[in-house]
Formats: sequence, C-alpha cells, structure tokens
Amino acid sequence: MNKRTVQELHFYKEDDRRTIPLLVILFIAVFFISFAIGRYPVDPLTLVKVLLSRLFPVEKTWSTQVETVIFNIRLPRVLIGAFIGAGLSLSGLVYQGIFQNPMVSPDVLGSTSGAGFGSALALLWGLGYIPIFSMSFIFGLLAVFLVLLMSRFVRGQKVLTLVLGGIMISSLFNAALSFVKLVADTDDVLPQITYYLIGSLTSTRTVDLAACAIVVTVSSVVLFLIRWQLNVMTLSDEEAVSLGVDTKTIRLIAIVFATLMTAVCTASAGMIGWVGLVIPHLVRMTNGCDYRKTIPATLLMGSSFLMLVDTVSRTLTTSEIPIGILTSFIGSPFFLYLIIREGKRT
Amino acid sequence: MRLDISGLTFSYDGKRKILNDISLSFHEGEFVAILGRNGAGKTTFFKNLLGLLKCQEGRMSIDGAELAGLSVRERAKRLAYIPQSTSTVFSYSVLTSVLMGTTNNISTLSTPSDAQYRRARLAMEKFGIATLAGRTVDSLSGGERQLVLCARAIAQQADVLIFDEPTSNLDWGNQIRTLSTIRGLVDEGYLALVSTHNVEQALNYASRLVLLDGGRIVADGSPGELASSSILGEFYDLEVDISRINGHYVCIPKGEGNVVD
Repeated sequence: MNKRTVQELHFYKEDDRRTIPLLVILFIAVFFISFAIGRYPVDPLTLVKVLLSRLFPVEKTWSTQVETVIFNIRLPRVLIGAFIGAGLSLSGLVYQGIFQNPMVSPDVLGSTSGAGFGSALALLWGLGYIPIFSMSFIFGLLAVFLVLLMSRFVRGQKVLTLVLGGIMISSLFNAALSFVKLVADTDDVLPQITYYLIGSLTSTRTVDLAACAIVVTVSSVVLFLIRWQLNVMTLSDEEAVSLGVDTKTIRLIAIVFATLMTAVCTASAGMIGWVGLVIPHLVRMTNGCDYRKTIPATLLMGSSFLMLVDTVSRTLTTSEIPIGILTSFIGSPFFLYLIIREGKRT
Repeated sequence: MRLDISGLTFSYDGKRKILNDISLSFHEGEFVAILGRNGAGKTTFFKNLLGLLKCQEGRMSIDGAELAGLSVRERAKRLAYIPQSTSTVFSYSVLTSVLMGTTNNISTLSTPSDAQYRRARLAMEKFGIATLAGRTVDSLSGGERQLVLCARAIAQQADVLIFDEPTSNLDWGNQIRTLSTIRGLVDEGYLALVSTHNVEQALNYASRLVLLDGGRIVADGSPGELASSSILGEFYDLEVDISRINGHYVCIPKGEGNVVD
C-alpha cells in the first residue's frame, strides 16, 4: 500500500503495530545467543567475522578449531532449528485457518504422528532419506485427510470434533508405530527409531538441513502467495465461496504444503510437538489475524523459539535433553490454557 | 437486470424433493421476502443460487447468462450472500472484513490494492461504520456486525443480495434498522432476496412475497395481494386477523396469548 492510501485510510489503525521489525531483532538476537552459549561458546564478533570470511577476505584472528565448530557443528544445528521452528509453526497457522479452528496444529491433527509412523516404517525397511521423507509425507497427509473425513460424518461441535478426531487418528498411528517398534530388531533398528522419533536436533545431517531449507522455503513462498485467500478461508465455507474463493483448490494447496513442512521436519528431527500450536497463538495475540502479517511473523517467531529451546536443551544439563521433551513441557500447559479459554467463549 | 429460475428441482437423497419445480423471475429494485416454515426449502434454494449446492435439475440465469456456467469468482460478481452471522473465531478488523468483499476482484496470488481499499472504504461510509474500521468484528454489537456484513456485500459490487434471515439474531431496534437498510439498497436498484419468519415485517417492508411449502411455490405476489387471513392463516396453520393501521400491516393471531381488555 502506498503513502497516499495510508493517508486516505487514516482511520486504519491495524498496521500501526510495528511488530515485524521487533521480531527480526529477536531472531538476530537469538541467533547470536545460540552461538554464544554452549560447550564451545563463540562470541558475536568472531561469529560475524568467521561468517564474512567465507565471502570477503577478512584477517584471520581465530583458531581453525573455532571455524570447525561454527561450520561443522553449530551453524547447521542452529539453521535446522530455525527452519523446523518456522516450518512447524507455519503449518500450524495454516491448518488453524483453513479448518476455522484455533485448536488444531500438526500434532493435534495427527499429521505429526502419521509422519512419524511413515518415517519409522521406512527406517524399519532400511530405506534412505528420500523414501523416509516421502513416507513421512504420505502418512502425514493420510492422517489429516482421515481426520477431515471423520469430521464430515460427525455433527455437532466442529471445534471439538476435529480435535477429538485428531486424538483418535494420532493414537491409531502411535499404535501402528509401537507395532513397528515391536517387530524392529532390538539391537540395531529399535534404538535408531526410538532415538530418531524422540525429537532431537543432535544427529542432524547435511541432507536433513538441505531438505528442510528447500521444503520450508518453497512452502512458505507458496502459502505467502495465497495469503489473502487464506484470510477469506477462515470464514464459513458458504461465505468463502460466495465471496469468490475456490475453497476446494485453496484448501488442497494449503493442506499439501503445510503437511509437506510437517513431514520434512519430522523426517529430519523426529516428533517435535506443540510448536505448531503455541507459536500461531502468540503471533495472533501480538499481530492480529491477517495472514498478510501473520505469515512473516510466524516464520520469525517460530524459528526464534526453536533456536532458543534448542539452546536450552543443549545447556540445561550436562547431557542433552531432546528438544521434543522440552517443547512438550511448554506446550501441554499452554494447550490446557487454550481449552479453558475456549470453554469460556462458548 | 433479470434473474430467471425455471424448473429448479433439488434433492439431497435422490428421493425426497426439497425443491420441486421452482420457477421464478426477479428484476432489479425488488425486495422479495421468502417465507416458509422450517424445512420448506428456503436455505436449499439459496444454496442452489449461490452455487454451494450443485444444480441438479432446472436452469438459473442472470441477464441470460447461465449461473452454472459461471466460475466461483464470476458468480461472486453477480450474487452476494449475507449470512445470519459471521464466524468470529479469528477476530479480523472491520476494514479487513469488508475488504474480503472485494475478493472477487483480486487474483488468487495477490492481495487488495488501492482500488479495493477505496471500494471497502466507500462501502463502510455508506453504512456509517467507517469509524469502526480498526475495531475487531467480535467486539461489535449484533447490529453493527450486520452492517459490516452488508458493507462487505456492497464491496462485492454484486447486484443480487441474498439475506439469510437477517433479523433473526437481532433485538427489535436493530431488526427495524436492518430492514430499513435493505429497503434503502433496494431503492438504489439492488435485488434483495430475504428469507424470514416474520410475516408482519415481510408485509411491511418487502415489495413481493414468495411462499414456499414442501419445496413448491404456493403463493407469489405483492403484500397487498397476499395480506389476507385466508392465505397466510392457512399457510402457517393459524387463525389470524390481518388489518391495516396507518398504512402498516398488523397481524394478530386469534385465541393466542393473554389478551386483556
């Protein structure tokens, strides 16, 4: 919107809240904190120099060890944390809108469990990364469509039906996952599956980072392009159609790309819960509901959040706490708070 | 502008016909009240018009163009829908809500531009809600929300306005104000199709009444033609006295309630 329009719409107060720049500052701050804290702390100045040295000739004032720590250990981990945080949060934000339901998220809808089961099955069969990711995606998508299908047949409270359907489908896929574990080789595959799915950024490989970076970036761009249609989709289907939105196509695009992000995150780092529920709520509390604004805000806040939680998980105790455990400690009470608030509304 | 419907028939299960051979013609400047008991087919009729249900039998056309042949976007340029209430799960501002009306002019991958903002602003000013632009819809009263929905429909720049029981959730004052608003829009040349359960309001505000029962049209005419105790009384299975006081229709059911002399 240009300046003239802003003047014409002087009564338009909504855009006055300048939260995006604040979130950018938050992101940068957390990024540097993630390097400054840990077993091999890297101070911000050295970090900037080392990063710049890859692009420009910079006088080398640091040891080779520092460079190794940054490029081989810390940077990939911080980046994958950022991409996974952004991806899971954005898929939560998108699911909530198209299902007109603030209580859903990748894990509540069962897509995380579906993706986890798909990954585990691929691991059981000893497959490589691409098949792991593909099966994660297929079963994640299957879970969402099963929940959606089920909610079509149940009359009554729409908000609760989706949540309860998600719980059922999640438990179904968790049972299937247990079965996979049961038949897995206890010496070799079982520990691999268990550790894989617990939700951790410890064993991040380059291929994980590359896949997350590509999928989350592409999906974010696609979802950002349809941001106005996503706004209208938060209304009832009757309203959205009569306003001129092709709801079937938009819903399909949104589900496919949101689930793609969930799948790649789960295939790369296991089941990290609650991020997709908590972050979109925090974003709406501070930025309003408009997808034109909430999409960038969610990407920034989600990535900052997971980088921060990962830093805590690395440093809180002498041995690392898997990040999925920490996000659950934060997410469960938050979900309880939302249920209580929802109860008060209706 | 003409909206023609001929032989419209619809059934959810293939057996019971919810709409049975409906043929009607409407033109601009008509305020049509659609009356009918619960389950008479009013909502199904609207859903067919809006393309929310796939037309099974019959034809619907606007200015000669088949509705079935129009895309969702094209249809939204001709017909606007004003629901009883709008979802407030996500609290958008009044401005953004009204802007949603301009969606039929925004390509799928783009967002509202200056032209759409201007349209939204004009629509808000028309209903006197421009000062509420920055407020969220869930913080408004029922009457104000109805105005937001009206403004959204006007921002849509369609010529047919379809109201689904616009007064049912409102207090009496807001009911009258909403009906006057619709009356004003009709005077400007819009065609308003309004479903309602309030016979008295229909007689006093509408220019034409269509009575639906069991999916069929049982009567279609002006308030003057249909304001008789035999027609309306039989329609609702009620003994009723209809009289005119100072040009207003008043309906009094016989033997109902406590009448104190």
